Amino acid sequence: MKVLLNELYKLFIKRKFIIVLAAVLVLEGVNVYSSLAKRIDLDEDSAAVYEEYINKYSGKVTEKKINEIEQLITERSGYETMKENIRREYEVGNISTDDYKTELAELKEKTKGAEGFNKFLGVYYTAVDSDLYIADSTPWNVLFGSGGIDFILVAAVVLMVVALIVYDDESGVNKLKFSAKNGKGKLISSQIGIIVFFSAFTAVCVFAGNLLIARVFFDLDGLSNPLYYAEIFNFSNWDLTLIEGYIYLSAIKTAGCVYLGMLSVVIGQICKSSLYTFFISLIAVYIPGYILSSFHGRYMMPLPSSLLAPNGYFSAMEEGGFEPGDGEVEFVMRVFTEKQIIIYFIAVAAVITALIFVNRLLWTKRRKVV
Amino acid sequence: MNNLLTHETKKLFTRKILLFSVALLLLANGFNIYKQYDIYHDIYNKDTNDARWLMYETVEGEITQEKVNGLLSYQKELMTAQEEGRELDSYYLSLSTDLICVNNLLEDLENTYGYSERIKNILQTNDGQMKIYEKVGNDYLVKKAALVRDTYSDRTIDSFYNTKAYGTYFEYDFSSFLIVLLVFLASSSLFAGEKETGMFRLLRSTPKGRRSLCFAKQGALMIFTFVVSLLFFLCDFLVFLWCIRLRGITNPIYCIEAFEYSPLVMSIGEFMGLSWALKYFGFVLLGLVSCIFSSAFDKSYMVFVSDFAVLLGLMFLSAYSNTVLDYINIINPVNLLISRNMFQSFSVLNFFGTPVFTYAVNISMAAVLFIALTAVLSTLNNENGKAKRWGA
Repeated sequence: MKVLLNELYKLFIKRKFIIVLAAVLVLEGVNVYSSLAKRIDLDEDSAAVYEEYINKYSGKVTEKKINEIEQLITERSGYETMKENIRREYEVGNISTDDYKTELAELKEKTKGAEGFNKFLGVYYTAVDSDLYIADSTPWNVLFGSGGIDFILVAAVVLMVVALIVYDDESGVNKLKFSAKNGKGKLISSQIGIIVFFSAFTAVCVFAGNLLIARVFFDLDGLSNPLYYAEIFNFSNWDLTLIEGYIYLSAIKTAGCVYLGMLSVVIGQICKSSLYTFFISLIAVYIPGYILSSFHGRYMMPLPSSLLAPNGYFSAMEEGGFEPGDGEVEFVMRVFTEKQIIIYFIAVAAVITALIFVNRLLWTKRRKVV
Repeated sequence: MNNLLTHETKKLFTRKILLFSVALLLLANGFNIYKQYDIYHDIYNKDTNDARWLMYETVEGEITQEKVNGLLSYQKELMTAQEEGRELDSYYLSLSTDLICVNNLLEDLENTYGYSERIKNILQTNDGQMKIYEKVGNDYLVKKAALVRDTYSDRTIDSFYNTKAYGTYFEYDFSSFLIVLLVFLASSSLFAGEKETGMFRLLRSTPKGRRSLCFAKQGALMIFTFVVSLLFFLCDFLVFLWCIRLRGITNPIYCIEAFEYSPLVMSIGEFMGLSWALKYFGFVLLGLVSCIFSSAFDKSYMVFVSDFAVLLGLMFLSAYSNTVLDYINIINPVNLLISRNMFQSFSVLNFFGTPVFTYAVNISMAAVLFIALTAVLSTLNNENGKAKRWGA
C-alpha cells in the first residue's frame, strides 16, 4: 500500500501529472463544446431555421405536428414555384426590373435557410417512418465523432507512462528496483495498476464529461432513440439506443486506452527513452490506423487503433455486410463476436507476458546491496 | 563551422532509432501506396484494366486524325456487331467491355482535344468582362483580367496520355505526414537532448557553443530533412510508377483534370520537382518550429508532444476556411506540404491594387517565415550573448 501511495504521490505531485490530467479534461471539454457550438454544418440562416423547427417540434410525433409540418412543406414549395414564375414573367418582359427585384427579395426572405429546413425534414421523416421522437441528432453525431483517434487522450496515456515509469528508466533510477526489497513485484505491479486505473479513469472522465457538456449546455435529448438516428450509424442494425451505443463505444475506447497504456509500458521499458516511447507509441497507434483504415480485417486484429476508433464496430448493417461510403465499398464487421474477444485476450496475455519478461519478474533474484 | 556541421550531421545519421524509423516508415509508405493500387484493382477488375491499357496504348502520344479514325471505326464495328447480335473475330477482351473502353477512351480524347476550345471560351468571356471593367474604370479588375489573358493564352494539348494517375499521385499526402514525424523525431532532441545529458552548459562555455552550434544544428537538420524527403519522394514515385502507370511526364501540367485551370505553364515532371521542393521547404519550416521548442524545453519528449500538437493545429487551420483565417493561412507551412492546392486554380490577392498570384504570396511568406524562425532560434541560443562565456 505504501509503495502504491508513494507512486501516486510521485506521479501526480512530484511529476505534476495532475496538471496534465486537468489540462486534458479542460482541452477535451473545450474541444467538444466548440464542436457542439458549431455542430450544424450550415450557413447562419439555415442553422437558425434548423434550430427553430427542431426546438418547436421536438418530442413525440403527433397528428398536430404532422399537419403543421406538412403545411410548412407546402408553403415552402409554393414559394419556390412563385420564384420560378416571377423569373419567367420577368424574362418575357411582363414585369419591370424593379418589381422583379422587390418580389424576388420578398420571396427569398420567406425561403431563406432552405438547407436548414431540409435538414430538419430529414429528421422529421426518419421520426415519422419509424414512429419515433423528433430529436436533434447532430449533438450525437458530434459525440460519436468522425471515427478518428483522439490525440489528446492518446497523448495523456503515453505521457502518464513516461512520467511514471520511463522517466525513471531513462535516468537509471529504476536499476535500483532490482536491489530493493519491494523493487520488483510490489513496485512494478503498483506502477502497472496505476497506469491501468488512471488510463481508464481519464478516458471515463472525458467521455462522461463530453456527455455532461452536451446535456447541460446543448439540451442533448433522444437518449432512448435508436442508434441509427446518428448519421454515422445510419446503416447499423444493432438493437441499441443512442445512450447505450455511446456507453458501449466509450467502454471500448476505454479498453483501448488501457491496452495502449500497457503497450507503452512495454515499449518504454525496452527502449528506455521518453522521446522514443512517445514516438513509437504514436506510430503504433496512427500508422496501422491509417494504413488499414479501409481494410475490413483491421477489426479482427488486436490493434490499439481499432479499439480507439471503434465506430466501425457498430456501423455495419449485418455481419460481414457492406457499408456505402465515400464512393468506396467498405466491409465492416459486426463486432465482438467470440472470435474478437479471444483475439484481444490473447493480445493482452502477450502484453502481460512481455511486461513480466522485460521486468524479469519471475527469474531474477534480488541483489543485495553491499 | 564546417566541422561542426559535419559533426552534427554525423550525429543525426548515426542515431540507430532514426535510421530504423526511416526504414520502417518507408516500408509502411510503400505498403500503403500498394494498398491504394489494390483498391483500384478491385473496382476495375484486372482483365478489364489490361484491355483498357492495351487499347489506350494504340492511341497514346501525338493526337492524329488517323488514330481518332481508327478508334471511331472500331467503335462503329462493335456497335454494329452488338445490334446484329454477332461476334467479331477478335477482341481486346469482349464485345461489351471493348465497347465501354472505346467509349471512355473517345470521351477522354475528346476532352483532351477540346481543351484549347474551352480555354478560348474562357478568354473570350474574360475579354468581354475586361471591356466592362475598363468602361467603369476598375483598374484592379482590368489588371486581373489582363493577367488571366496572359496566363491562359496559347494553351493547347498536342499529345494524349492517361494522366489520371497523376491526380492520385499529387493527392497523396501520407508520406508527408511520415516525413514530418521523422523530422520531429530528429529535431526534438537536437537542443533538448543536450540539456538532458548535461552537455548544454558545457557547450555554451565553448567559443562556438552558441550561434555557430545553433546554425550547425539547423544545417544538419536541413540535410537530414533533404535526404529523408528525397528517399520518400523516390519511394512514392517508384511505387506509384509500378502500381498505377504514370505516363506522359513531359505533357503540360494542365493535362491533369485537377490542374486544368492551373496558372502554371510547365511539364508534369517539372511540377513534380517544384512540388517536392516546396514540400521540402515546408518540412524545414516545421523542423525549425520544433528546434525552437527544443531550445525552450528541457525534455525532448515534451518537444515532440508540442510539435505534434502544433502540427494538428496547423492542419486544422489549413483545412478550415474562413475570411480571417485565410489571411493567417498565408503563413501556414502546412500549405507547402499540400502545395497542389495553390496551383490548381487561378487565385490572386489584391496587393495594393495589383493582382498577385496567391501561390507567389504563399511562397514569399514562407521565405519570410524561414528568416524569422532562424532569427528566433539564433536569439534563443544566444541569450546572454553579450555576457562572458561560462567560466571565462
